[in-house]
Amino acid sequence: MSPLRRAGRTLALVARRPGGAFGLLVIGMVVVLALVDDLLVPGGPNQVSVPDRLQAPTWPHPFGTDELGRDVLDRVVLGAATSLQVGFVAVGIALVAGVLVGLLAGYYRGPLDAVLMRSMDVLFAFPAILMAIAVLALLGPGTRNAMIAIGIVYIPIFARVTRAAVLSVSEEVYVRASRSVGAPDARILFAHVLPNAAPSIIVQTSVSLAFAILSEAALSFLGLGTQPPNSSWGLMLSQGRGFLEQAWWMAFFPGIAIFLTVLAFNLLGDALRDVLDPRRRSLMTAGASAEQPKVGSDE
Amino acid sequence: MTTYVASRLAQAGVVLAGVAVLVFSLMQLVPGDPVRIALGTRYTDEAGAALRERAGLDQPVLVQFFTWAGSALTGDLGVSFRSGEPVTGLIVERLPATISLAVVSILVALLIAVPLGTVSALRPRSVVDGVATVFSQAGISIPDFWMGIMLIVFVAPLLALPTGGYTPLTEDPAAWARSVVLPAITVGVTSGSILTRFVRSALLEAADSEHVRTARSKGLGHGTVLGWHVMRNALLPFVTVVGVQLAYLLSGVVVVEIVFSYPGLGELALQAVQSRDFPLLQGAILLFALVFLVINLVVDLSYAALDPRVGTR
Amino acid sequence: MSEVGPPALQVDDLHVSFPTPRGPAHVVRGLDLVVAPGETLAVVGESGSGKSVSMLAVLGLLPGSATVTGSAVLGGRQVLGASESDLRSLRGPGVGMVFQDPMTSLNPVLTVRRQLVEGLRAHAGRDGARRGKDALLGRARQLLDEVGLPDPDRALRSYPHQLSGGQRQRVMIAIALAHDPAVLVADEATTALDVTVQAQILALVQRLQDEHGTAVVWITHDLGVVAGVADRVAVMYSGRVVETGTTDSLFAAPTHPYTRGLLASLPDIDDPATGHDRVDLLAMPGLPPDPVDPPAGCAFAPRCPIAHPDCVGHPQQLREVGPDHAVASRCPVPRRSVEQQEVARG
Repeated sequence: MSPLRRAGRTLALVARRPGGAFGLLVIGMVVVLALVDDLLVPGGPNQVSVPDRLQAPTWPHPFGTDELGRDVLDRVVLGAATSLQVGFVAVGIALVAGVLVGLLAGYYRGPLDAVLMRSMDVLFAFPAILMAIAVLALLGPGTRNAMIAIGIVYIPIFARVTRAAVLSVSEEVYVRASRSVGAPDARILFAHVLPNAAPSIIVQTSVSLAFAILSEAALSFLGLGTQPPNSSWGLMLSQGRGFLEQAWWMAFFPGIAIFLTVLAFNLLGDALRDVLDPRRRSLMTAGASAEQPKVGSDE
Repeated sequence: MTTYVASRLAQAGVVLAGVAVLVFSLMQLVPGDPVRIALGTRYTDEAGAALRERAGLDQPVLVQFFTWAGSALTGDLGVSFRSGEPVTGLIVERLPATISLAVVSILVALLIAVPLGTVSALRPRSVVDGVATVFSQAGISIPDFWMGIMLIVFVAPLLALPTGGYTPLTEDPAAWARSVVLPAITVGVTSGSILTRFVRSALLEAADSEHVRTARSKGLGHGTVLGWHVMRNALLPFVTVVGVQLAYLLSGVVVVEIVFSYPGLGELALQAVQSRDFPLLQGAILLFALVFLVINLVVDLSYAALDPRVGTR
Repeated sequence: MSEVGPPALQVDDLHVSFPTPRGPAHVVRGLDLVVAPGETLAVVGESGSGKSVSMLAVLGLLPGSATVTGSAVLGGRQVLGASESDLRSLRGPGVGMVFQDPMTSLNPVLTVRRQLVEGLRAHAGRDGARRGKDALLGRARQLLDEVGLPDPDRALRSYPHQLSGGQRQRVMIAIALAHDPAVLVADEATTALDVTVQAQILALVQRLQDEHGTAVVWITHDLGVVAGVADRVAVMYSGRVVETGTTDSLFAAPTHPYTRGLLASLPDIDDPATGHDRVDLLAMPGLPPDPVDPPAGCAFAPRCPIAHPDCVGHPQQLREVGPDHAVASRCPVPRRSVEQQEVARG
């Protein structure tokens, strides 16, 4: 089956599950918002209008206004692009670097494996948020640097997941056979090993996207991520914090936005795991497989 | 067995050394002259030179590293640029607050995760399981700083809880409890959600194993099978995950500390970053890494105690 | 070998199905089995034939999602549909089970002693045995000695991974026979072992059987095992028994084409018959039917070299073709039966 058809089939299976459907729906909405935000809010995130400041949620401001009279709904919509952007770029960095490390470590084993994984351990030993903060201290605050910082923090987890999958595949007879015949390593890696590791990596991607978005929000909240005059959900939360008594909606709605988006990615990750993990699938026929021979069974 | 312990210790040592190098190098890379930043408006060439010499910043980098690493091994982490006080002292000062928060949070997390995860695993795909899954997914997805803010706005006034600060346990237990409760709930809910999912999957996987089938075929009662063959076997991975969570709680809850103005180590580290206070930052990060490694080591050792197969390979 | 009296186990019209995304999978479709007290029955079939599942169903060890109908009488008691507590009292004293892989079937983090004693304690008092710790330990030691473990005390202290495969399987047998059950079910119990160890375990079970009068059901796909120990054989295909009879009559005159295929694919050094004399069904083409969509008629028909249109339309019932020899097919008993019997005996 061609990869495209397989992807389509996977998506269809995912959409059938309630969690997967919710995830796809919400992510779809957020993506659309991010893509057309300039059309929806042509004026940008800083349409100050002092007479309208601190208004409670009613029409024409369903999410209320902030201390400068800016419409909270507008700013929430614009924040979607920032969050998604940071999420995808950060995870992209982590994915490329992490998968490469994991592939090399798991396939070649030996001293290379030891060195690579010890390095990953060192990265892991840093509490994630502090690592990101430290990197931002180096590079300076801002959305772009936040992407790099978060990306670096997530490299180890991708490396570990990839390595684990690669280890289990390397033991398969067909890989050993290919190697013994002298097939070029790169070919084996990309034709056999990587496709087998793909499910775990895909699931990890979805989960990491969720946490990357959370991390961006946290960093912006701390003042180290997105800087004014740009807008991001985390930044809105930090700005809203000063007005909790008078205008709870300033902090409430961005928070909901973060929550729903992160939840969507998490649920999508769960659904993907259910659909892609071959072990899970066979749990459904667990009783009938009571007699399956121990050497792998085909479907 | 002793070889296992020895090798784990050696590994931990290597990682710690790596962390030390990494931290030190990071600090060297930060743009801006730390001396200028530390002195701020009081900067003069003489004062700068004096501080540089006192802090050993005029030495070559390698010497600086080994000096620092050497004294770190004896517990001396240098002196803060900003306040001039010994770093170790500043860190130790904040330890009770951080440990209190971590311990209470993990208790909250376990209180949520163990019952919920167990019930879920006992009746997979039932209504209870579905609800528990939704709760745990929501708990993971909620931004903890947002939850903290919402608790401050809506709950604190109701229960007359303070919205910031910390009272040491030894000073006033009641006030201590009230100052820890909201932050601990905030952190505990996220942590508990992660643990719930884990407890559920660990129990399900243990229940699926063949030795459970054997146990049942002996005619053992439900309780015995559950206790000795499912839970006992799921204990090993469970301990690992709790350890990881605890390590994280001891070092990574900066944001919650900020929201609740809670004087913990995370907030100290953030201050250090913002004021380019290298000695303090280095010391703090090194401590965090050390805590992480120690906890990992304890987990590995408990693994050896719980799983007789460890160390015999 | 077989004594007069009610059967140790009698299964009638057993049906087991599991829910799958494509619909229910009918893994056992009308199984009838009788095991007389003290006799050895071999249930033979390939993977997916339903042999393991049927025994698990009798013990009530299938996952809750399974649907089980029919009747299974063990020691005079109806087992299917019995309450969990009734089943529990039956497991152990009524029937013991030994599984295929002793490494995964024993709990890796508990000592052998724990795993033996907990089984003993669960039913202590039932047969008048004392429940005290020493009494239980003594009994455990005795059991390990009976199954031929040279150093029972060391074995008791050990964890499963510290024992060899054969030793582990002996422990499993000790656990299964702890309460002297009337029936022992051995589910592929020798498949994971070396050939020499296999022989030892087979001999051990036979000896214990003679000493205690236990009936044994050997579930296996290995006909060599069957030939060595079984009194009677039941051949299963696609959830049903297709041929059953004494070992001798089955080996001498295999009637169902599937049975003949199984036997013909056994290499036999002593068989003087040359290629064109033997029944040429060396490798049976095709695969067993899909349990989600089983055929209405004879399940083997698609692969059968002598299938008749009638076979496809109507399910074949077991019919007697000789003394204690029944076959679920229209095929006649092979004419060479007498000569082959002589060859088999000679």
